[in-house]
Amino acid sequence: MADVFLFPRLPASAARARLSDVLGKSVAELSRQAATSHPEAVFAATGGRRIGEDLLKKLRAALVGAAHQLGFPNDTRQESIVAFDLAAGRVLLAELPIAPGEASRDEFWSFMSLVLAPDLATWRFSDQNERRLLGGVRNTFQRLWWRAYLLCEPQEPDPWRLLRLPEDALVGLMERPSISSNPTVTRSIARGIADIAANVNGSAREEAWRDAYKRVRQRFPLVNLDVLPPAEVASQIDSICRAVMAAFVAKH
Amino acid sequence: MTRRYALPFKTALPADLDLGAWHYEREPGVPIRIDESIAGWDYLMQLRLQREVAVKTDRLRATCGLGPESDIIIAVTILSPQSRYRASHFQSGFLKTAYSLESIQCQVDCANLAGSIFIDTEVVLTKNLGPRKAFLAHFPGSRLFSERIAVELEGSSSRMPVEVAKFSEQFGWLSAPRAPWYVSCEGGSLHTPVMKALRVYLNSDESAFAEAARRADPVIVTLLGADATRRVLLEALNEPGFLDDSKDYADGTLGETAVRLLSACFPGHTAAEVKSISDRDGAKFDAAIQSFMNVAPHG
Repeated sequence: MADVFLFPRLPASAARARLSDVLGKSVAELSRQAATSHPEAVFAATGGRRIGEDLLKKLRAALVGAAHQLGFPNDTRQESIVAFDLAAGRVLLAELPIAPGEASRDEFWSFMSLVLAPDLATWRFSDQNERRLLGGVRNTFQRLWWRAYLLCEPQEPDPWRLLRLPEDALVGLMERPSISSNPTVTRSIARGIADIAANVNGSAREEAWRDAYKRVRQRFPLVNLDVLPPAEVASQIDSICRAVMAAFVAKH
Repeated sequence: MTRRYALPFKTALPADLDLGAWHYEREPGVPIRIDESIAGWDYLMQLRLQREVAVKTDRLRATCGLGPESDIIIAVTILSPQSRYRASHFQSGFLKTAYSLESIQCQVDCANLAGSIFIDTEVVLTKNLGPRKAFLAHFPGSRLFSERIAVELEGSSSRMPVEVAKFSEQFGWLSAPRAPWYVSCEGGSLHTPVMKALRVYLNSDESAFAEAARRADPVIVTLLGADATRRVLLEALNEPGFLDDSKDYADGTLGETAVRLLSACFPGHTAAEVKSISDRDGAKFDAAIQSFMNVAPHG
């Protein structure tokens, strides 16, 4: 069995306190404050071994390196900071040896955004919305790791294709864990959404993939997609997405 | 746990199967019956599960209207909503004989799990070569029978996630050192599991209140329940997607909980109407919730 690493968790109360220290600070100041530990961080008592600070330093260095290539900290153009999402997702998947059970802990992602890389989180989301800094589905790094974990297709010529879906489509998929928990099924859905994005134009696109998500979600109580071979899963999802596309093309 | 919705095709009856109890093993050859929780769980555990399932196959096919040309199997799926884990862990061969006895054994790597898990045992149609008819399952994967058990992995199960904290020290940012309780509803999304997003914190500095809450004093439970309900509803009513009544939320999520609470506290009103009430007349909004909590069963 591979090693299971335990990661530092910033409890809700400590995260809130740290948040008030972070708010209003510049990216440069937060770079100076970035750290690999926090006095109130805790670890799970059992179930693995604690991650070393060396690895956390290496992770931060890799994330900062990826951000530098996109103009961090001075370049605040939207295309640069949005490009960071894909780059950071790749770094997190490669450099963060975290099991899904640990990755589900919001307290670890609070640590990431508020202690290890508050400068990067603030560069990415300059409004410092607390939902981007505290752990949760919209946390700066938490969302990127889950996207990479579920949507990366290592066997494909372009393993990161599905992570280049429009942001609204990715948010709509990832914030529906009922349909985005099984990687095979999630990737099938993402491929269907990519087809919709390519074939439905303008403002109707978002309505179209919301409709697709609803129809997929309605299929779940009837059909257990988890037991089916990937080709059958793809066929059923493709059929749903084609029906959505046909309806929207006809309507618009 | 029984299904709360009707499927558009004929499904099996409980009498079509005999389901043995689920067991897990800490040591090989020593099965422990699963109750509501698994003691001593951690990430390093390899959870070995087992149960016996007997299917009266001919009878089940007749109940579902399926002929012998349809392929059906027994499948076990394990879900851990908190860690976004869902995977098939057992699939039998095709059930061909009139009576099929399956000894299910499966193993789960606990590094993938957190919080609690659901274990689904199902009879699934994998192929129906018969003619397509109304009210008969035809999609591959159709769920002809489902049974779900919930198992707590961490801590004891409870109706409301409650924690104790010293507000003056741990919640200084709240600036409410003498508040007896604080309800936090922070999921980031209405699709977040409600048990992950909702927390009721009891102030250890207000010991009389905290003790009464721990004893499940009915008045205290009503107060906490009403506040938790209010927080969930306000969180949902602030989401534009919730107001269009799309009801696209999975079981156990904040959104699904909000839909049920809305219907219970404000029967006959749409989400948009309740939002209007909460904006215009907060006292009326609160009173409706308190009225519901006062008649709901406690404990």
